[in-house]
Amino acid sequence: MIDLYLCHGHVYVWNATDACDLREHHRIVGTFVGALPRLPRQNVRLGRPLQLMPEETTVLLNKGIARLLDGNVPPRTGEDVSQAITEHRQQSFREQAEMCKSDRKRKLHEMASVIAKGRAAKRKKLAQKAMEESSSSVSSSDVSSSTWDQPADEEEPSLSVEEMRELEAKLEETTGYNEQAFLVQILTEQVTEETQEAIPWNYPNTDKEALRCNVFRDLWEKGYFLTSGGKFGGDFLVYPGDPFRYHSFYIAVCQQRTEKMEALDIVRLGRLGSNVKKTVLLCSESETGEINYTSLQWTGMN
Amino acid sequence: MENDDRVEEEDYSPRVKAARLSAQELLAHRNLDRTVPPRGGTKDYAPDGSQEQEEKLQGMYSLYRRMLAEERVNKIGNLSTAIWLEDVGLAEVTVDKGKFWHHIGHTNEGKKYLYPEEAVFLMETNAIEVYWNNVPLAVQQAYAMMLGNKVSMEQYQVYAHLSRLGYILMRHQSREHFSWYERQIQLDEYIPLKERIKERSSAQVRDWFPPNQQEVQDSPSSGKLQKPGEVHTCGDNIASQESGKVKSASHSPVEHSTSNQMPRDSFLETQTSRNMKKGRNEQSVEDEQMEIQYEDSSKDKTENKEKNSLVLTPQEYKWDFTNINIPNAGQDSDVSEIPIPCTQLLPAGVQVNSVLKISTGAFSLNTKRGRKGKSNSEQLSKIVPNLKAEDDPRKVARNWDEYKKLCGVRRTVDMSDTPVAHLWEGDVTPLVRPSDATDMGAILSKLQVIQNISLEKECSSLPKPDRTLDIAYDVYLPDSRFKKSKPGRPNLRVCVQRFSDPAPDLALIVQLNQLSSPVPLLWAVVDNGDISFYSFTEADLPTDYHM
Repeated sequence: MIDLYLCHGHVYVWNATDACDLREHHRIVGTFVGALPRLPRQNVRLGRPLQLMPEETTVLLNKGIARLLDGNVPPRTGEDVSQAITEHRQQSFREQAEMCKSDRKRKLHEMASVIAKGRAAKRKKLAQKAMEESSSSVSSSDVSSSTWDQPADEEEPSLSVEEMRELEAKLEETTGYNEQAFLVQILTEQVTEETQEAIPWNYPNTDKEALRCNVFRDLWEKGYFLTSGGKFGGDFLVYPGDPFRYHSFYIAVCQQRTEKMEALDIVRLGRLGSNVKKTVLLCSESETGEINYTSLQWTGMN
Repeated sequence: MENDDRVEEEDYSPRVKAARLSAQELLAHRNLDRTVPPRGGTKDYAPDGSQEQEEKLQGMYSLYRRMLAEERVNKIGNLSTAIWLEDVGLAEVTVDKGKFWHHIGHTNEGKKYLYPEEAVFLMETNAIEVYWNNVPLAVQQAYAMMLGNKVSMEQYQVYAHLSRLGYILMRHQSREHFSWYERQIQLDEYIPLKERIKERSSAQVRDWFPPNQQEVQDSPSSGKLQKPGEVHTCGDNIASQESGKVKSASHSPVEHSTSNQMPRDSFLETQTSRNMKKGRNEQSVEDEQMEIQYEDSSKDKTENKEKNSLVLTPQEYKWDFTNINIPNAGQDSDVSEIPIPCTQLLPAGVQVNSVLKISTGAFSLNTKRGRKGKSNSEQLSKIVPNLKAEDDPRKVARNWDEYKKLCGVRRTVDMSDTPVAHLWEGDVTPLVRPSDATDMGAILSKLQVIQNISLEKECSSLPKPDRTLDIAYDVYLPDSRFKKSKPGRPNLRVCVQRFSDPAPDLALIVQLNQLSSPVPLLWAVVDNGDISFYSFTEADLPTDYHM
């Protein structure tokens, strides 16, 4: 059951899995309104919470896909709660410290051969220097040949067990416990321990809202994806598939059956639709509750 | 991803709600992929059931699942801390790390505070932890507790949207503390609002300018009054007040609310001293009667006679200012009203029914209108539209007589040698006379029956808007030299509306534009999470004078 939270008149989905399920399995798109944690200072892709239109909420609640909870419940406080949180953090810090240390150790072992090679090369250099100093009278050719006379290292240089232990000990010393460097999480979704009761959803209230709800439900049941249409001057934008991959075909404008429309409105909507290459759908509800659609298309006279 | 099982929902969900991350997951958050899929790119036309489309869609879905599930993780050393104070509706910053204090937050009595929208925004950008009753809040709880009361969700959305883009947003303070004149000379951008409020509320200043409704008898009870010295000039007046001399003489600022008379010789002094106070006091343009505050200027006499009485005797004043009204024709107000004169002063048979409103704001030569600013000569050419240099009497005339003659010549209408003289015989005459055909501008000015008005000048004649709307934020472009204490003039102002709210009527648009001028005003309309910005600007239809 997907949880929706009613907070100051808006309905939010805070759980990441729920938000993705709503889109993938139930064709409810919504709008993300929060900052995206991985890149908070941009407006291209926003993150949780997912804000739902009232019509989307109505559909979800009526179909039993989701339940509505009160978003204004304050968090539990008290000595025990703060204590628990502090303990959890301390535990987390200890674990993080352990993990960091084991990480470094693992890296050390990975680099063992490289370290060994480096040490061997250093030894060679030092030896060479010593030889040069001691046998300064020997000719250069002799010196060069003598270097080649050293026993060839057939096997890969490796650290001995004592050397390894020495390095590990050094590591233990240098890895400190700096509390300021530990990571904490700013929770997005709250952690609730009590179960909450569902609250009633008081929408729609007016005829206009009821019409919008019914039009939304009808189009949604036909298999379309719907989002808010304010940017295009209509009530909804109707997509044949997920808005990620497809453009919308229709701008749905809800019109009361009993309300008069002016010719100017028809022209305005027609012009708008033709400019953005979408078809305007005038949607109204008949007396029997059936939704009727009229599309507007700008044509010339032949 | 392994989640710590802290919560188990018994009734409904078999799966566990995401909870606190384990140490391993926290460490994994150090090396996140910080790229986001860009907006745009080609979309397909319609779903055709092909595998290719399905793959692209699934790719997007899985990316979103990963992206959304990521949490905000930061080192403790990088996180500031704040405490949410419910009663005042502010978050008090206890630990300040990071660079946000440069353009966010304010201090009050030595403590640092954040507005709720600022605090939630900083939480979302992973810069601060907000505690409430020693419990760190989640973003969900912050939305519920901190927003929604004084800051609506829409307002927060607009704030966050613009702040994420990098703009510096400050809450809009109403500029009523500055008089129209001070705004005109842009003094309000130099004196910070806090100083002005402090200045006006300080006790010293209060005594200089006691509130208008104070009765004459109340003056003894107004505490320590600064009494002006024995001077006749205004400069000395101020000097003595500033020096803080308190004289026991009977000087007191008296409010002229009763029918007191005033000595004529002191009228000039009081007017000038009043004008100086005007510069400091807030102007109430709507007053129909002039509230005159004046110093008792017959100081010499009273100082000698009644040293200890603070009340001025009424018979000192000769003019009754309740009946004589001198309208304010100065340039500090756009409109001034001339009240109906008393019938005794009018000639017989003449009736004045209504208060006359005169617009004195026509010559606002000093206001900066940005790129639309007009120079003096342009202004003059609007008033006298068809004035060419060789016709301008002021330039051609060499003495006063010539000037008068030239002006006279221009006024006569010569109808003798036109073939269309018969058109002027009836009642209805053409708008344009043949003598007007000097140039295009002259003809056009005669034909312009519908005048272009400037809404800002005429806004007083519009009805009051049916609802009030506050300007929410002053927007500044991102600037490293920005100072919170002296932000200067904002680049934009923003007011927030819902899409479902009624559209603003003309009066509201004009009122808000005027409140915000010369800074452009943007209307942020929030439609369920989508924000669109609109602005209303006055457009001048071009009239071509030089064809």
